[in-house]
Amino acid sequence: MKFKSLAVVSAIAAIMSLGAEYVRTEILLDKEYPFLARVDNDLYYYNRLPQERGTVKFSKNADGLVISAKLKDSDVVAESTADQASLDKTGDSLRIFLKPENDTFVWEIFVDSNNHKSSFFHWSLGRMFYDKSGKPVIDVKTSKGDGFWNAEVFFPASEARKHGLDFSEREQWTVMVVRTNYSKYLDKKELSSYPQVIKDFTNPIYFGRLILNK
Amino acid sequence: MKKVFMALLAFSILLPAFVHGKNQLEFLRPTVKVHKVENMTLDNAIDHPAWNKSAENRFMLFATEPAAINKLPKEHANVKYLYDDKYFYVRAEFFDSDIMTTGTKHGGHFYAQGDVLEVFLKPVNHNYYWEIYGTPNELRTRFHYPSRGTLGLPSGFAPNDLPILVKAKVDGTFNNCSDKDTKWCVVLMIPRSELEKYGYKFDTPSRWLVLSARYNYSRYLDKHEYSSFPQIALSYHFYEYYAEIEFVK
Repeated sequence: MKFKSLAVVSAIAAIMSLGAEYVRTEILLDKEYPFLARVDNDLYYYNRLPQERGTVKFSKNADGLVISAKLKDSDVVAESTADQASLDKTGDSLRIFLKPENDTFVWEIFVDSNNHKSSFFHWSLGRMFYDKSGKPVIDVKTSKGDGFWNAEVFFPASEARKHGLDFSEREQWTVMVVRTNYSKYLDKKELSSYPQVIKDFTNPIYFGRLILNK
Repeated sequence: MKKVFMALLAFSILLPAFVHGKNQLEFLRPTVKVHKVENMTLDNAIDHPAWNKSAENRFMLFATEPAAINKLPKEHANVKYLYDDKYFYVRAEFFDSDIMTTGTKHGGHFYAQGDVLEVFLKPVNHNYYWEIYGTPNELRTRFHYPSRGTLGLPSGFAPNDLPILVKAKVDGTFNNCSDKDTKWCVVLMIPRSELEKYGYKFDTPSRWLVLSARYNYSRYLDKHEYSSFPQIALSYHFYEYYAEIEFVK
């Protein structure tokens, strides 16, 4: 009877979660947020910090959006040789998704500790193709040292204007920043993000809402 | 008792991961600001204007699997906190289509009898903690556990004539499921003299943890619903997930 009670409670909770409304994380400008471990099949990782920590901050100016990250890293490594590649496959990197909340298209941006960069425009997350012949539309600055690397990514508002948007306060934008961390001191490469993600970094439900009006 | 056994079983499965887990990662504990208030009484507790300045903390679904993370319950709720020299005040607002309880006397296990607010309070640096209830018909219960390691012993559930005050306001028809209700509000006034009786002050620089949780029974829900602030996984006794109080003068 007692085992059945626990099973019943768990089943009830699981059923309730299926149709439940998800609360999107709100992200304020000029505030530092911690990267959080990815939750896979284990609730243990909920609200947990990764072994190697980092923070991310979003700022805005008249020309566009600035995404700044500070990353502690016991083994800064990137083996990329060129821009416009999926840089998470070749070393320590950030992978950023920028998406207007009320439209399907999304920009996918990479920067790595070698100062290489990539940007890909997708008409939707269901239509992600990687045109490696193009040129990145972003500017990046990286720095690294013993036990860390930092990155600053500038996304120009002119890119948004090509699709009828301009990063104004009237618009709703969502963002996801994913860190891939390779290190000889870790058992396996470590994935973390802000906001926290359950399994799938490309699921837009987890993207945070940027609050553009102060 | 079933609830206690469920908690113990959850711990036996999960606690090793917290303590001895291969990937021991630090938990990012939420914090909650608790402001000082003046002139709060039982009569004005529900509608005291100081609540308007207090942050609203939304209840999230009780999580037994990752899919529940950051999800709202069907029937929403929120909680606010204030304090003064005598009491810690907890005000919960529960949207509820069917407000009910079969509880009739103080000291009951109200989670098994109907709608209830549960408040858990624990000092960071000690093992003991409280579990305190308030119901829509202004009943109260107080359980005190010397530690989670003693959870389940009858002494933890011993009757206690503690002067916790409860004020509730029902917007609907209590214990009548023939219509749909709107919400109920409840304020628990928890005496600081109780919380401080082991020598640990309920104010800075001492550090305290709090969880507010709900059992929601309703004719209009397929299953009764559990939710809390902050969001909790697997058991309301997992104080690893409780929020830390930031006292604001």
